[in-house]
Amino acid sequence: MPRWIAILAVLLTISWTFSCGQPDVPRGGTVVVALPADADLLNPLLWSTSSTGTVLQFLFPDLTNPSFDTATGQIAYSPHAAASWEWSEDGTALTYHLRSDLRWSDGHPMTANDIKFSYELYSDPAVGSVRRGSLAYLLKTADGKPDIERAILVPDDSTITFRFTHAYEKNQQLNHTQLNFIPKHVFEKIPRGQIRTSDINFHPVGGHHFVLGGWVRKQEIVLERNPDWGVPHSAYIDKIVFRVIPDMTTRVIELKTGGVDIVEGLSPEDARSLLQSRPNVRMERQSFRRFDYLGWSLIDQNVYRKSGKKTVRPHTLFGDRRVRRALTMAIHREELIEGWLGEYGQACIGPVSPALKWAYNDTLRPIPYDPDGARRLLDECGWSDHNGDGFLDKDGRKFEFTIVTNTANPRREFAVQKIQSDLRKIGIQCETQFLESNQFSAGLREKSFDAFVAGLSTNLYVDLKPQLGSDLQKNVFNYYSYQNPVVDSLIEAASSKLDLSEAGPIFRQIQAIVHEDQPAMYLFWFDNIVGVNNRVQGTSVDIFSAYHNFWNWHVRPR
Amino acid sequence: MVRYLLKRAFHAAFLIASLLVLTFFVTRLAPGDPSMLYLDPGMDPDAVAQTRERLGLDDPLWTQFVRWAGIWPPFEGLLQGELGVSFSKHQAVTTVLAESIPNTLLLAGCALVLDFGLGVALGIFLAFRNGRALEQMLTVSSLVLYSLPSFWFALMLILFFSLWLGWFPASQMFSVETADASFGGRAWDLVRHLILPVCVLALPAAGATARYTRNSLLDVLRQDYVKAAMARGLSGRRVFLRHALPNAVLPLITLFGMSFPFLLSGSVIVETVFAWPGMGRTGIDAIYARDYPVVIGVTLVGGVMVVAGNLIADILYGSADPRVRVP
Repeated sequence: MPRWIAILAVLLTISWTFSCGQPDVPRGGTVVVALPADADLLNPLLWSTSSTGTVLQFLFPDLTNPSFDTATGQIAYSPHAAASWEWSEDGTALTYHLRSDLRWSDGHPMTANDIKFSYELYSDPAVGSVRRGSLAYLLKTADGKPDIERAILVPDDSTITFRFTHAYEKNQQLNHTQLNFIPKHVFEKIPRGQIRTSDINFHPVGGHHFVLGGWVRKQEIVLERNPDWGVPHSAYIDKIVFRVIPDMTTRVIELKTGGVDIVEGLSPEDARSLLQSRPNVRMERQSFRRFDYLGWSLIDQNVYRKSGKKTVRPHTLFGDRRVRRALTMAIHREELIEGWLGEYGQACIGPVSPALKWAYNDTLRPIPYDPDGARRLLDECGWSDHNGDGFLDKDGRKFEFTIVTNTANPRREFAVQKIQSDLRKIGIQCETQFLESNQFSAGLREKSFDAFVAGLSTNLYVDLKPQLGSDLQKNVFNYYSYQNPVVDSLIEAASSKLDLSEAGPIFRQIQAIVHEDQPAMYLFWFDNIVGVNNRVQGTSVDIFSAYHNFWNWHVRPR
Repeated sequence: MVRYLLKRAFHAAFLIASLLVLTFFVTRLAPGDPSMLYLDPGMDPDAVAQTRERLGLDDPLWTQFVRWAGIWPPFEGLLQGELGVSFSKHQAVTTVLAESIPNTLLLAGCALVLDFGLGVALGIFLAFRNGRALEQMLTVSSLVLYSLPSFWFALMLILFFSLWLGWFPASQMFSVETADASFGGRAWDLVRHLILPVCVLALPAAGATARYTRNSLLDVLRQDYVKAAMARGLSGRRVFLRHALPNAVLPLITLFGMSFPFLLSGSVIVETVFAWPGMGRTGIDAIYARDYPVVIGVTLVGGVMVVAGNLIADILYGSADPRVRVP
């Protein structure tokens, strides 16, 4: 073989290796993902359902790509649409330098102007994006609204600077500037008040690894590989089909029969059954992201509502933290976890994820199950069986209340029944009520319940204010109406720290206080169990999402 | 006849208008709030209030009503043929319905054909085997089939025919693999996807249809005119086809008129289990999302189908039986 041909062959191989990622990874093929519901609209400004969020991450780019360091619990960012970034000396400005080779799916160049325009739309009330909250840290106008002209500077097509109200932790600043962006040349032609009903929401011009190939409403969304996107490398698969299958049993059967390749949100029972009966299916887990808790109303919600949300009085039953502690002692958390979740659940002691090691207080332990101790503690508070009817009472009032949760959630239904049974053992009469999800959410927001089993998905940056902040009207997730000025000031102190190592001890202190106060019994962390057909490899279900780094997926042919 | 139809149309319009007004108030007075769909820890604290304002939910109920009905400026409501924009889908309600109705009509139409085709045939068979062991066995079987909960029946069929035997797909209208297939290939794929949901809808109903047919036919066969025809020496086949059967199927016309709306309501569960993208699922999704305009749109379509089914049955009955011929 002539020498020049050999050299050329080597050069071509090297070039191909660097341009396409790993050379030994099979390319092409289709992955079928089951969605419980159809997307509402494919527009990053306006989406509202989790199914839509799942699809959008394949279509619209991010400036950076996060990865999670399990050793420290911190997030590290690597370049994606942005090639690099730096901060100003005073830490109040963050400048991204974009790659210059990026294009939208219609061939138009992707520039910093697209990003600035996107933030203008996010901030415009006429557009009505619910993500305006993410702009809270950008420079504001005198009347407190985001001042996009001053807050976002575009010196050239590949440079964009975000200016913040004050210096704060750098990873948080990166996180606050990760809103997906849209093509300016497309959206500037649409009157802002009409974006919500525009046809562009159903035929999006995106700019990521995939483009929309077809969308049959309530049936399937087909994404096809975008050959022009190569960051960090071209996607290995050619096509992703999202199939809308509302019923979980049918989704599981489709996973068993090979009709779909990926199903998330499996129940532990289904996961075990699949593992036993289908060797071609594996389970991956997203752990320490979501928890369920038994919330107590700390205030007399009837007085609060009748006074026009002004008068705050302690709840007759749950206003005393010793009573709340006794209730936690009376509920057998380990049995609860073992009974439903098994290996797919872990005890929870507070709203900070154990995965966030820099913030998590690992010195705290769950309050142990101790029904006798619970009875003694309640007795100290005046709750005893004075009339011998088998139930605790105080000043003629029986210890009884209703726990409310939402329907169509077997995990919570099981939890409520177990709690009811455990509390009965110490003489507390507890009724249960199951409400349709929307009605349940409205009831939580209106503070209609004495006690409830609800859940939350934690923020990876530890934002405790929405659930623990004392301002009951602003902090809409503070369903238990917890008010503690010390916690308020600690939350403020933590948010002003420039470094997580300084914020961490403050968050640990907050958890210790909340653990003492027990505004809720934090029940358990439950895994998001993702069933994956073994023909799909390269998946990396992690704390971010079940679809993180999807460009690494590769498949054996169907 | 024209006068009769106009009178019926007027009654139908009044009935449907009343239904829609009732639905309007019931949906809005029911607990829950469409803005809850947007509740998220990272959202703007004012987002819920802004969403309510944008959807017009902060206005007094009567203001919302007159705007919805189109009897107040800007006159863009029901009276002008505007059903509004879906809260959750952000599309015109007519578009949302137009995507769903053909799929439901296909499913319900096939189910109706199987229901009556199988039910009438089985009913005739049972009538001629009256009192025999086979008749009793089939009667019990049809009763069992009729009493099965549709979601359970659907799951059993999926388990047996999709999971264990692998004969039919478990969900959706088409397979991923046939996306690029020929028209014939796609049509066959559609038929394969139709079989299980159609069976779930039609088989229990066919059991009932068979019972009606059997009882009606037995009644007719006991009539004097049938005995007279036989006595005159007409062949059994001729007596059955010319005299007995046409009279026996008369009650089935009423049953037919009532079956279509019944199948539509039954399709709510079937469409959810089989991921069939029809009107039933659209209605359920809209109820959960408190998507009031779509709920009313689905109610409108359902109401029209019920009224139309009854009207068609009345007209057919009148045409088939001169004793009750419409004026």
